[in-house]
Amino acid sequence: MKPTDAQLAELAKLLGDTADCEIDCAELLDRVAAYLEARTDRSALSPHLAQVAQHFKVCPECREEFEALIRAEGLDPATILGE
Amino acid sequence: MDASAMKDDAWIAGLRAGREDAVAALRDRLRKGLGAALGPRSDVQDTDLDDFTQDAVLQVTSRLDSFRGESKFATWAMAVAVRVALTALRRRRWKRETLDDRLEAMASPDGAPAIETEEVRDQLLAALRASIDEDLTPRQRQVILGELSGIPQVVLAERLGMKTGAIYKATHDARKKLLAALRRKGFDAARVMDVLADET
Repeated sequence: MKPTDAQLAELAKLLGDTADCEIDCAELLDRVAAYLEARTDRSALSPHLAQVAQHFKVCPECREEFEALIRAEGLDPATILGE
Repeated sequence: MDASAMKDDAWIAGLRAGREDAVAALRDRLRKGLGAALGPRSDVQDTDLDDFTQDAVLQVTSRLDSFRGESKFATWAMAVAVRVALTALRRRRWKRETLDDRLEAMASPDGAPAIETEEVRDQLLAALRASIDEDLTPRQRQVILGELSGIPQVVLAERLGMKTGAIYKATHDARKKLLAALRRKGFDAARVMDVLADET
């Protein structure tokens, strides 16, 4: 089983965003609500919540769930996801 | 009493006590949110949303000790509900396909064609391809290739007889090993991102 160049490039980007210490998806679930509220309030992220942002870079499934959570809460994705 | 009027402590206490008004408020809130999040999807029916909501209510009430009060209870509960729903949808989408079928498809000539690339990018991808073969354990290779081919973590976990937390740990360990291997070959994280900067 050999990945294509495009798949390898996608993996390489994930490597670029890999941190030595990452939270897993279970821990993310316990923090993501607080992360969303901090982004909504535009308050500064604590290191505890900054790990949520890092996790989204390496976990497309959790990122997809976050985007769904934004919609579930009736919020504007552009506001929350924009820089 | 509706969700907006219920304070978090009272709501959680009501759920622990199995009070019908607390459960009904949770159910209504989650159903509405899941409808907003997933309703537009063509693969989701109203009956699905009802089922997801029921499962989510059970999950939330069984996980009340996990709520740490770092956010509003309703937001936390909705995050749980979204996970329940999307996990179910991922399982459903992959029901018919075997793990071997999907991994075999990665060898198919119909995969994305290699783009005409610069030499450095070629070297990076060749180094990465070699590291996948040489530096990972068989299990790490399986999970990394499985995720690259789009297999959801929950499906990978079930097919490999692992917990989803163990899948994440395996991919994280694999990514760290691959990154270390690329560094030895002259590609640190910053250089990797530089080389791939123009790709979407």
